[in-house]
Amino acid sequence: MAVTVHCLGVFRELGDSFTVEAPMQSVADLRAACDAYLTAVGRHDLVSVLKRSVFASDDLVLRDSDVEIPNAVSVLPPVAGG
Amino acid sequence: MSVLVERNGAGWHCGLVEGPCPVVGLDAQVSDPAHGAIAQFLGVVRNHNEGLAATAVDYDVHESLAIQSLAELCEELCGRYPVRLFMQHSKGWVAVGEASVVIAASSAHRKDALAAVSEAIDLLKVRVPIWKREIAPDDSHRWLDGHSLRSE
Repeated sequence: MAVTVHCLGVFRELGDSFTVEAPMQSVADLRAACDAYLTAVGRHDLVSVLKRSVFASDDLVLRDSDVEIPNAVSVLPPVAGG
Repeated sequence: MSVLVERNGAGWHCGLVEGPCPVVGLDAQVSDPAHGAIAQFLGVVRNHNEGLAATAVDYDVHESLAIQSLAELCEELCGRYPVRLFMQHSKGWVAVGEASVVIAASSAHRKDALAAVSEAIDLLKVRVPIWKREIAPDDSHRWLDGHSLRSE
């Protein structure tokens, strides 16, 4: 399965989006695929941010246990509005 | 300034705007002849943070989730306090001295309006998907850390 991950916040340092492709049964698998991608591109700093990030569709924050994975998601690092 | 998206409910209004938030006329957004108190909060970009100089903050926003989160926050606070509530947050570039967030609440007596405004900014900072890219005088930048939305 291929998933386009739209970047927000500090993840924008990777560009507007990146794509991960791997067998995925749940959002936890998507997280693992993103972790592998960040490691492969040498962004170990973002690996640690990813651990504190969530994935979201246009209108819903996803949980790692969710089994429905949209073809496109956003990755939301820790928020800092105000 | 242009309004990107906004929502209304019973006694509340929230929105996201491009650039700095307007600060004039904020009281009129929540005025009510039955209310004797109006409390306001303006979050303004300052010229320093954590010992470093800053000239602006560039706000990144997940628009659809942010407006949904702001609307839920307004609903929650208007359910907890007898207030009229107005909240607006910036997306994009906001220079030092300009407002990035404005909140106003009115109530019959001051305690409810003050409490609602205080709680609104506290909750906004930890719930709404917005991020700060702080700009330094030499045009370098850094993304500021924040509060994780992950609960698992």
